[in-house]
Amino acid sequence: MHMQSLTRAPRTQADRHTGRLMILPMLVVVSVFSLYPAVDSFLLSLHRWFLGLPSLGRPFVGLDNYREFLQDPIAHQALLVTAGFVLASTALELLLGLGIALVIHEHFVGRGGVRAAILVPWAIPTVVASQMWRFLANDQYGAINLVLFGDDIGAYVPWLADPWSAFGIIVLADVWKTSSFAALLILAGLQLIPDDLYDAARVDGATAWQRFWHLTLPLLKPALLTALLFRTIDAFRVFDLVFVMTQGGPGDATQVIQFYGYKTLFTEGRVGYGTTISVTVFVVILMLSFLYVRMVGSKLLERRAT
Amino acid sequence: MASLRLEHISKMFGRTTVLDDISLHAADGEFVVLLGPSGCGKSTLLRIIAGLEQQTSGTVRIGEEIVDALPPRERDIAMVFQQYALYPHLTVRENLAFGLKMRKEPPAVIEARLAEVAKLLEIEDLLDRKPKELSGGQRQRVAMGRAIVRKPKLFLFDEPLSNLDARLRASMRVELKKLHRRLQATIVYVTHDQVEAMTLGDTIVILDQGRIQQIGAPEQIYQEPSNPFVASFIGSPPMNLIEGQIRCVEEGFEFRAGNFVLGLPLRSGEASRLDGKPAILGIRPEDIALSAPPTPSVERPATIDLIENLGADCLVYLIVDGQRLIARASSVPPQQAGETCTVFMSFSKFHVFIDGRRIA
Repeated sequence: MHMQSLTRAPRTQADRHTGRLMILPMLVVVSVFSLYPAVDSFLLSLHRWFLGLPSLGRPFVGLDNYREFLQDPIAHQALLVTAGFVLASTALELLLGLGIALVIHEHFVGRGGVRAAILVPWAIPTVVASQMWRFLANDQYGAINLVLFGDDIGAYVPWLADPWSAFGIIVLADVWKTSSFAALLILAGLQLIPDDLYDAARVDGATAWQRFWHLTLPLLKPALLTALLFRTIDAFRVFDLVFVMTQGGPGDATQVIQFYGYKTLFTEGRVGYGTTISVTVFVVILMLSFLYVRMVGSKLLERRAT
Repeated sequence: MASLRLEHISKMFGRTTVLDDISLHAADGEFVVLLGPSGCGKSTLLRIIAGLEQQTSGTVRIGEEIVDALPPRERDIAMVFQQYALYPHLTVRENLAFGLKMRKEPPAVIEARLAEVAKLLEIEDLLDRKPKELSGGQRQRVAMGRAIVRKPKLFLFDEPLSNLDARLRASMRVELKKLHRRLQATIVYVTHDQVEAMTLGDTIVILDQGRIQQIGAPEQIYQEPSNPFVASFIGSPPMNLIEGQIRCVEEGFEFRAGNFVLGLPLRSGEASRLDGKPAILGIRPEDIALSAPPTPSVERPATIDLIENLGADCLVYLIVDGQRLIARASSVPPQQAGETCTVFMSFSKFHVFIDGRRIA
């Protein structure tokens, strides 16, 4: 509805020209910093190139790297770990974010302070947060052990040395850090729901739970989907948490796909194959984005029009 | 259906008094209109009746039951909101059924009531649409349907017609009146529109600054406004109000405001008490005639300042002894603006207010 009401004034040739000129700087920036690296990476992934062995040159190998990727058990394991991380962290962040949003949407004394405090973890750089969680989970001086076991040093657990608990701590760190972001998006959605509807529902006889289930949740769907989109894509690209806290260990237990790509490229010097992994991540995220935009985008517009 | 009784309702928001000692009664089946300018507290009063807001003191009774401690869902009321407040994600059918579903009515009952109400409001064709696919008038019907379908004890309307255009508002007004007659429902209706109040209400309650100014039937409110606020609030154009003084003279009393002097038909028993008191004299525009009326009246020379022809009748802006008055005439007077004429004012139509209260 709104789209139609924004009827365009007829444009002259000169107007169009000015318009093009005005988007030109942005096009240049996007081309240099986004388009060129993406295209160049794709071209790189079609070559075999070892960093330490210049004598082998950079032969064109077509899709060989991609064939290797499909048959690489370590890559499959890394994808599995990544998928697990995406599922666990996104689900927890949305649930916790919804809870936080519902609380800070209510009126209470000191709400402004609580809202600000909730955002603190999100404002901390991930590398700093990761380092902090590494300390917290340390087997000798970690606060987690101190809180759980106190002086009983014998019972201290090397959290980051066990495959499952290491994975758990990384999920926990991510949930701690980004739930507030999800909460912020969901809060914005909550604020779009008119109070009138809740009054009407109360008069209609709906209990608090029924109001949540029949009004809040369905009307929050666009906001929840938006949060889901952002969190899934972000979680799929997870790198810094793993890099700082576990370096993919113990074994390959926390080796997510981005970290595997990084290791392949920079540690092992296999530029062609490492780039192939990056391009694969890129394509997966691109597909996810398209999927969500198709799902969410239309709904968001529909919502605006009411 | 049930009656409604409010006893000494007051409401404070912080230190601001929004409602001050409101008492009123709506009999079973009565259509009560709360009328007042914006900010007078009428919507807050409605929300207190609904239980959406808690009064600071006082008691609300629905039927014989005191409902102060009950949440809205247990008061068995239905409310129609100004912005309609239709659930945007539900179809019209689901909107109508929402309240019944929440109360766990059996599906057969829901289905039957829905059909009944859809027929009554002629919205059968709209049942599968979403609210955003409806026009303003259609949304209005659905909002009313959602209230009616529950068969509540009491209907509350919060300025339900104010979002409609003038033509639609007039036709919905007529429908509402018919609907009330058919349902025999007890209705409390909030509005700032005096036409809605006059045409719909069995009883009008006029509120200003959190206080009841007058309660009465529409005719009574119009003909015997109890104070200058009511006098000026009801009627369009509003009643002419002249500020002046009461004087005791040999023939009785007179009202004096500068050069404007009128004899007043007051009982002489009040003589000594009234002499010299500041007073407000009110005359409705239709009670100032440009030709001699059959009833006893005073005549005065006047200058015509402006004539507004409204089609059905016309408004004549006059200057009478230095006072600006508006008269409503059934036909355009032969004189032009700037010319003089004679005006006639009937004694029996004077309204006299002293100390903010009506004395005649």
